[in-house]
Amino acid sequence: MSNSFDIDPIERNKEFYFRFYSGGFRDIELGHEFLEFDIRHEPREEFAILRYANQTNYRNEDLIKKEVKVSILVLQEFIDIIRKSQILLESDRNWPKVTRESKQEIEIRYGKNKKLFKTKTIVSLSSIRNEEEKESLKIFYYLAQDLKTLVYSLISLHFKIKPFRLQ
Amino acid sequence: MEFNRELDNDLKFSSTSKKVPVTSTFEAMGLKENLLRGIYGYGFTLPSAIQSRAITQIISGRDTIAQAQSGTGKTATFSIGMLEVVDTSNKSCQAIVLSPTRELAVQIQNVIRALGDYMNVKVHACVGGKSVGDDVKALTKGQHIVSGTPGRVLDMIKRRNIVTRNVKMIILDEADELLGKGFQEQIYDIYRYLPPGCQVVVVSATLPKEVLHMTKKFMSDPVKILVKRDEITLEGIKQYFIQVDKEEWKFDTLCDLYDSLTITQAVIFCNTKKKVDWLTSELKKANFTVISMHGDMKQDERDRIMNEFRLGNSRVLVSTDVWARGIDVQQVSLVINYDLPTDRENYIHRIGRSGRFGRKGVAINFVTEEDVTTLHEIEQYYSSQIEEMPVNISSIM
Repeated sequence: MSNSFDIDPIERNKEFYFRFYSGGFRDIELGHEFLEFDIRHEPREEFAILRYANQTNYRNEDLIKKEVKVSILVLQEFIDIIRKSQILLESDRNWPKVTRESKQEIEIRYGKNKKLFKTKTIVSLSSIRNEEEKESLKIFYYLAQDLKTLVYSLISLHFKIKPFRLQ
Repeated sequence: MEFNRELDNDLKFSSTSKKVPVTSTFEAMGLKENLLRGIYGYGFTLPSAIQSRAITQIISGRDTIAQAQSGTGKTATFSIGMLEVVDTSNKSCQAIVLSPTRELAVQIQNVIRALGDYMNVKVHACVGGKSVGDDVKALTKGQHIVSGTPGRVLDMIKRRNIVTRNVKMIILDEADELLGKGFQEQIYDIYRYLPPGCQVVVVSATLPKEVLHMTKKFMSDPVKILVKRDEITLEGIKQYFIQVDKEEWKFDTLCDLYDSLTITQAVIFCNTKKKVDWLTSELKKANFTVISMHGDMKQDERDRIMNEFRLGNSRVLVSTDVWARGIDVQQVSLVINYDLPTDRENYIHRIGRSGRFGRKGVAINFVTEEDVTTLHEIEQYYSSQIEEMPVNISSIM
């Protein structure tokens, strides 16, 4: 197993970076479709930056980019979810290889430590049930789901106009 | 691929117009007293996000593009706008609403009538499948507003039963559908009969850039109230999928779910009329109570089914995309995609049959192995989450 490391959830003097990517080249009409988000905390800063992007060429749609500053509490929640998932103990060595059409990535950097996980897109749990490394892929899948839920909530809280006012 | 740089530079439809004012109460919109009474009588208290932005723009006379999530009050938005602008002392036709299905055109007629209850406004639904003679008779009496489907409305205009001379406003509801291949020609034909300077209002929950670009051909400097695709799904509608190994297993899965379907009301979508007929007959054979509706049925049969479903006498409806857009039956809390929709827009419209006006809803997608990638792409396109279905459905209802 390659360089496993842990993240100290209260250490603020090391750079922390997390990135998730899911996408691939579909066809000429759709182009390169992807969802990507990352969160970065620079040493000693009192906040972290969360960035989000959603790209498609479907019916002339294009890139949506959003960026928000989040507090240290939100950052700690991120780190907490990542640590609890135990993804840092995993390796992508025997995972299904990425293709041009289908790729998911998780990148985690903490100080000088770095881990990158790559696999072809996991579209459902049933799609990985016959994989040799299914337990390890499940960890990746659930982590991606959990962080998507968190990121979508944060982004939508910041940017979305609620269709109804609370009455 | 060809690039048209000039057009590309023009393409600045990225967001809502700057400074669209928000009017946070109906009173503050300066509406006619008798219209305001109709609005409160209808049960509205405070305007939804789209209503507080688009109504005053429509009234101002400017061309307007109004996009909002499904079931958040778009029909009432343009209906209120229209009713404010219509002069009831003048008997001529002053506003036309076009929609892609007959049922939707009739539903809109009813909403306008309800909101205009205190205004002596005459509204007529002008849809295919109904007697032309009755249309002619009703139109001869004078109708302030016509709500119809493109084919019949065009026909009535050509026969001069709808006189367009005083039409101030045309509304394209479900505009992306109306500007698609099936209706585009008829829409442009109708447009040619309208007086110059006629106000155009374009409305839908889904307005991809391709469609926004087309509106340049017939709208001048429109106010744009838009929602990005990653903000279009409703939090109140929980989305799930069930993966089956074989298409044939979908049927058993549906039978297992049937008891949950009847908790309130449910709509099951198939992609073809043939499949609707097949699924309905199989369900009936298995002793389940269902009704069905699609475009090959006679209109009086369609009307009967709609009525039965609206009254709640039937709880499970099997249908095609004829039911995907706009239809408002508030008791529907579950939508099943027995087949995945063929385009990404109709995914939003189909699941939007539940979760009306802030209610909770559930959508369940039946997918085979090939479909699951398509569904994943839809999920990501809208930045939404579609989870694998938990074993116990009652935990989510």
